[in-house]
Amino acid sequence: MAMPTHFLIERTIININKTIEESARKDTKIIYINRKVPPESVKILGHIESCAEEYYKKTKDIFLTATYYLKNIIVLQALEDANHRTGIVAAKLFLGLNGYKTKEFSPFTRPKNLTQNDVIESECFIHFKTRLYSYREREYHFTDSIINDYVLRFENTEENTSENIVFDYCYKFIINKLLDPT
Amino acid sequence: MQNKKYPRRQPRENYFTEEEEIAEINRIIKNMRGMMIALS
Repeated sequence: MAMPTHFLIERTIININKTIEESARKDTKIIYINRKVPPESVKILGHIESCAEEYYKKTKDIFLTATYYLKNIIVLQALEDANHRTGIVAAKLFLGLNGYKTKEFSPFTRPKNLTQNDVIESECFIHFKTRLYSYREREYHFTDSIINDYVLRFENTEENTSENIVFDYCYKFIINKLLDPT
Repeated sequence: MQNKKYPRRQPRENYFTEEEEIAEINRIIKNMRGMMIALS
């Protein structure tokens, strides 16, 4: 029996970001700073819903599609803050909705007694963000001119196999850090 | 290949309602507080 595929809609991405913002109001260790975002980025984020579905039709690959959400949410920077965190939660939600088990992470409920795993895990996320920052600079040069539909172009399809270092790094992060093979 | 390493279970038939979706988002975010702090 063919398995149904569930996609994320724009509202879901906004809800993830709002929930992170609300968490920051209740938890002083979580920071969320409201910043101005380019209107063009917000507009393009609205296309992610239909583009991701079309991308899946071309690739038939849930992991690539999860990468599509993660990479584009981060590159567009259409949310006032927490774009990386929103992208990671979105990818995790998308994988879970489509039947894939993802790793459980630390809730940090006992910050005074952090385990070595807690520290390694935090470093892994910080490393991801730092590394990705330099890759984004290399691939997109951080100019406003890149904030156009080009960002949402399809990578790793039959028509386009050109390498995008940001996309590739996000894909490896999903495979190695988010998915749970057990 | 990927299915062997990462077995896919049957996804739910229907989409979440908005309430279910928010509950699931809350659960994930609560369980990833470490990441929320690390990337702040």
